[in-house]
Amino acid sequence: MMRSILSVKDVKKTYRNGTHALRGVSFDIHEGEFVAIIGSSGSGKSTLLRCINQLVKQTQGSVIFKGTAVEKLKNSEMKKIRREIGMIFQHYNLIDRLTVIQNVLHGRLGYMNDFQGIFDLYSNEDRWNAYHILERVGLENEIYKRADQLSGGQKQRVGIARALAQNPSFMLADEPIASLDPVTSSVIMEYLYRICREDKISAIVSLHQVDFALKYATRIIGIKQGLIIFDGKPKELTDSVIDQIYVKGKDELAKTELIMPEAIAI
Amino acid sequence: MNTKDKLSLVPEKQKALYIICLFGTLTAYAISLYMLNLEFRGTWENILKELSILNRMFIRIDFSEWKDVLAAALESISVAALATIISAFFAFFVSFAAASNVSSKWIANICKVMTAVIRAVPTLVWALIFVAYLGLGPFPGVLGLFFHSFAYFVKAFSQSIEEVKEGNIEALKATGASWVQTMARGVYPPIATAVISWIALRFEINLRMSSILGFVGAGGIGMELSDAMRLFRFEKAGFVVLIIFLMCFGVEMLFQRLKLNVDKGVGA
Amino acid sequence: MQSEYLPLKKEKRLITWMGVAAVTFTALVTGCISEFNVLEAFRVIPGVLNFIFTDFLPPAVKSVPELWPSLLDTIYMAIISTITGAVISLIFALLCADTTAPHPLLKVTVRALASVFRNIPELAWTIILVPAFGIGKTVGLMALLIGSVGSMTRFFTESIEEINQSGIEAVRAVGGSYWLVLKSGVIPQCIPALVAWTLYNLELNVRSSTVIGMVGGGGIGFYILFTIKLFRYDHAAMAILAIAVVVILIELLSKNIRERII
Repeated sequence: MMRSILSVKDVKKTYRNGTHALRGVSFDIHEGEFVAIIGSSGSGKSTLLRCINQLVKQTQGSVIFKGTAVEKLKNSEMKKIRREIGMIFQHYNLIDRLTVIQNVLHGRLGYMNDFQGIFDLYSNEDRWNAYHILERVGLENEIYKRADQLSGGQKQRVGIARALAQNPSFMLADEPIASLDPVTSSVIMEYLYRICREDKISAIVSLHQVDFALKYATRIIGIKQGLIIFDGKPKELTDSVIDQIYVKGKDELAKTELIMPEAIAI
Repeated sequence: MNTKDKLSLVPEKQKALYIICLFGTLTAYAISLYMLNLEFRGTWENILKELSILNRMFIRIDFSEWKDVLAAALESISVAALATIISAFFAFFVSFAAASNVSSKWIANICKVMTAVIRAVPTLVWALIFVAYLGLGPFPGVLGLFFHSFAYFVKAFSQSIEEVKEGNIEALKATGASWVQTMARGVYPPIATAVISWIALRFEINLRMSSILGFVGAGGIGMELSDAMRLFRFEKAGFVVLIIFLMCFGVEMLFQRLKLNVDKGVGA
Repeated sequence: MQSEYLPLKKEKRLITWMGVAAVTFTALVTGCISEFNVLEAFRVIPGVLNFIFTDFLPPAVKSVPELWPSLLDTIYMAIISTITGAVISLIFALLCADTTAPHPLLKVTVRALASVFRNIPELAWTIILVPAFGIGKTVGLMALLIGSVGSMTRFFTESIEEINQSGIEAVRAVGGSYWLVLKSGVIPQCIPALVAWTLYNLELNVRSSTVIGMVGGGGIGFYILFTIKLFRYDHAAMAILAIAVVVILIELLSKNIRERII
């Protein structure tokens, strides 16, 4: 029986403007899982991921990471949890003016004190480890390039490298391929999957491309309007479930864009 | 649509806004002109008198006391430079407290209000207050200039900080970085060039300010000009004005050459 | 793991440290020249704050009637000089801008003139004009006008030069004359920028016109100067407070209008 590394218990989140982003979400993640969370825009995927590392604080419910309830922690203790959780973003979130290797080394900040962080005092060992990580994602020749000079796919690989530099046991990926073309998306998903498996990192990846989810995930969670409506193995994900996740009521159709036109029932 | 009606080239709402603005401006202008009750001083006699003064100042210019004048100019430049440097230094740290995206709403608003009040008092008035307290000389000038510059930089820097992409800050937070580390590695790099342009822009302004600080007794080349004019020594005054012009013009040219791109639409 | 040091970026760290050293050096040198005493400064600042809070505050509200006329004069001077200045600056800018200058010699002359206007502070202009035109609002207005024309010409010129040239080409291609190009192509595109710069200049002029009275230019500056020299600090405080309120109001107004136009 695999250990539970993350436990989400009845998490609810209502934003100050009244939006009910999450209405009571519960699941457990075990070591080694590669979980895809699928849902349309506005279903609560981003909020859910951010509640896990407390970039957003949930209104109710508990998030338990390796036995600790994270919502109860002070900022300084949360730092220690966050450095174990790597995160990659839809818009890469790299610091444009800095070089690739400087961006990757930001992953080590959680292990350094303020003074070292301010003055770039990364140890030589950290620097070379960062270099080797960049070799793993195929960017060893671009280490001195400024982040804004890279293509989308390269930027996301730097994002992955930065997360890896943290030596994480868990990975959160918030729509990592939403801004990429289909070919680059494949490349990125391959890297992500392979690295998580090699380094035994458990991961939650939010996607709206169901085909990628089916291909890579060990488990799929379907979320709609803040509630989980599917939680199971990829082969259990039938077309009718997909339709349920993505087809909206008439009024919602007017508000949000359709992402999966093929999934809509004829 | 009836083709006989004139088809407007600009949306009606925008047109209305322009007309209101234009009308408002003209009204303000007319009222001000009327209320100011200007006496017409543009008589030939006055103009000729001015021309003769200008003649004495610049054509029959007197270089003889150049040593004193240049020393005073150096003093003014120093006052401006020092005030700029130390105000930029302190304001840099305070600006993180004043930026609403990296600091709490309360603290940010308090900082903004306090600096707005400091900025609302003209620099020369600040200098005058310091002179009243400390007496004459360049030292009160530096302090007076410092206050106003400090408030200006806090506003300018915090504006730049608030323009940093939210994603930068999120990403660093997510790695487990502390607030200080996030500021240093995620917020400072994007604003670094803006900070330098703000400093250059303010230095130009401060240089002009410091040339006139002398009028209220805060030392520098303003005092030379003030003394010369008061004693009707127009020839010397002309030289002083020339030096002031060269100072300000020189700095302006220098910064243009260095292509320090200044942000547009600045309000300070 | 290699043992040699891996640098983080290609540029030399040395340049950054040299920059820091240069700035520190400048600070030290200018500190000496300007008789700046760091210890004094730390003692003075609380001293001045104490001075302000005991002698200046509370402001003498009863002095409002006596300072009110000069306060209004200050505002009027700022408004008139800004608007007149804007009109003149627009004409000058059209003569100076690389893209619209009709004659190169004229361009250089106007640029030089604006530079002279701009790089001599308005208070200095006041002092130059007072011996011939006397003390008072007229001189203040003239000085403010000169300064405004100087700076707005520069800003307007930059705005004109920065507009999208393809629009201008289109008007020329349709056969437009110089004036038509101006009216249909250049001016409409720069209106938001011109308005923004004019408002900025208004803010600057309000500040300048409050102090121009200190050297004989009319307005509330003179009142502040003599109340301070006569140690009537609470009266001065009232005037300063009044100025602060005016400046803040103008700033808010300016921000408001700018947000609507842009």
